[in-house]
Amino acid sequence: MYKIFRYKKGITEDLVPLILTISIFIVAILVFHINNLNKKKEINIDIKERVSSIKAEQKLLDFLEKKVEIDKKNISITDLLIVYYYEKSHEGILVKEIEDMLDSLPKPVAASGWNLNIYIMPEDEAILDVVSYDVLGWFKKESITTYLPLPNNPEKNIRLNLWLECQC
Amino acid sequence: MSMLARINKKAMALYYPVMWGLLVGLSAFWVLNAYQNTPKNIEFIGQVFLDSYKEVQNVLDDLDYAQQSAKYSVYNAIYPLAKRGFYFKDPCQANEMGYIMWKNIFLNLQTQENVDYSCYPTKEDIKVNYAIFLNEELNRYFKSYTYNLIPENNYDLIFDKKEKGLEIKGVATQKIRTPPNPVQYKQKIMPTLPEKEQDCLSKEGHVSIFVGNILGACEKCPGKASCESYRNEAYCKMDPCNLGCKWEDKCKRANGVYAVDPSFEIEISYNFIYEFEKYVSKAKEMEDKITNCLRKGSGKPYDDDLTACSDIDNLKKAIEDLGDYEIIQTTSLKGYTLLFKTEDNSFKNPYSEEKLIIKYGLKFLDKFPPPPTEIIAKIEEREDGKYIRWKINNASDVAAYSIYVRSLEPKTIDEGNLLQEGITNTEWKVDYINEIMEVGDKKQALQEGEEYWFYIIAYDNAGNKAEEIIPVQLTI
Repeated sequence: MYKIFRYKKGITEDLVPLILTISIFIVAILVFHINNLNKKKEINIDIKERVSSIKAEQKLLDFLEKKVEIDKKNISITDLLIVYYYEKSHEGILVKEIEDMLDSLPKPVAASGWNLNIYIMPEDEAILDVVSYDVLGWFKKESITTYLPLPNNPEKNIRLNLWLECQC
Repeated sequence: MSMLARINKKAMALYYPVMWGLLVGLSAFWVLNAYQNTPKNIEFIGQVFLDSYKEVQNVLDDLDYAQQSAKYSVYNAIYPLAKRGFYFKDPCQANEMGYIMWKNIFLNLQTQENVDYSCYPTKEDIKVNYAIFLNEELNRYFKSYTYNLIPENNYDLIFDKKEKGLEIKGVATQKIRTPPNPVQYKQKIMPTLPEKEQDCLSKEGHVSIFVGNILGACEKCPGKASCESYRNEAYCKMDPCNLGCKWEDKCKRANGVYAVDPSFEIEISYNFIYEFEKYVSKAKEMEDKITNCLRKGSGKPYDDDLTACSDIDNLKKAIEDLGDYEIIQTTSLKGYTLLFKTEDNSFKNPYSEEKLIIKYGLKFLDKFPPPPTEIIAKIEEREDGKYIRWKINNASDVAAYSIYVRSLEPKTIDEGNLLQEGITNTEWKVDYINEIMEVGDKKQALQEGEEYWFYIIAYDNAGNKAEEIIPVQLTI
């Protein structure tokens, strides 16, 4: 080990382990760095999901205010939902509007998509499910819940559950 | 050689510090890197920003729900107001068959007499009572909103008349307050005493401990803790200062992360204040008409005065421009009750096809004496004797007649001598036999061929006695 310090030839004999030692340090640093990169990546995906979720919620709130023409009248999607619940009519238009909205929502990764479930509370009874992306198993990531009151029935309300299905 | 040994000694002297330096540097790099990349609650500004933004969206959710509920409630509150005669509480204490009376009868305990009492709603009454119904309606909506706690009985109202309708401004007296994101408590399965300083930072100085996703989880709360739901999750609410929390100053200043004012402003096409006032003035008009009619007597034979005086045709004139209506008449001792039920077709609720029904009632005290009874100025001679006849009294609720006589023309109803009372028909057979006429202190029978003054006094079912007479001189 100390040959390097004793004679000139020792430099070549001990230099190799020295270089190896330094290399191990460098590899270790790289491993740590890669590890940190992965962590950063995870955090980035997490942040992306949260940002997607926030953007999606904003889009959902805007969507509920959006006007659609029903029976020659301009009504909001909120009102259309209420008409759908009470009269079980205009399902086609409602589903189409929801699908368009779901498609427009930001996706944190390519293999992801948003779905919307609509329930009547407090029964928790599903009245409409619109699924734009579905993978086998349970990959639910982010969920956004919004409530809408029902006219003439204050004891009940509509719960909209917008959720991200994602393989991430 | 010596040169090399000197150099190698230097290298040897550098070797260990270099190695240790590398090792320490690497460790420091790793720790620093790990520290920088690990999200810490408050230090991680991005996370805080996202949390804040999320709370903003929660605010919007809450406000949207409150606004939407108000949109429905401003219409829904008109129905019970109309059905209850524009009152929340019955001011006249006379709810008959579900109708609130705007005019009632009270028994004065001192005089033991029935007296009239009016409770016609004023414009202010309509506004105040509407506000109560609207708050009740909103409370129902807010109770079913489990996402957050929206304060109940929260609104003072301001009304602003518009060209085509009414603008209602609901001014919230309390704000919606939201506790911090409950995620930090989710680690706890069972309620325990606060362990960390951050446990003190919760809504209104209370510690909220997550106990489950359903309301039934409230059973897990220990004795002194109350339970509340927040975004479909159950929390035991405990006072940290009583439960071993040592950070009282923080408990006191913790008031939630946001507070928003859920005031609203909604315009409706139906100005119910103006419309309802019309019903009140029409009801007063009807009362006048009926009262005058009762005073004069309906003039309709064999009927009840109320039935006659509140004749549909008569009343129609008073309320004809108020849409479809129904009048239900009920009678009670010494009084009449009229119940009005009107369907207001001008009211349109965009969220319901339910018709607006306005209900109210008027109770009349029968304090009106029958009008004077007119005797037919001719004696009718029949096989069995002579008869004095009179016209049927205009008050159709007359129970009986009394006939009086006097030698001189009577000026008041008390001057005559009672010949007979309790006559249920409209004639009296002249009695020459019985000494029925008082003359001074003596009594004597009526003399055939003599002239006398006769008059009739009618009594009605409520015991009212006619106060005016029409004396007629007849030769019997």
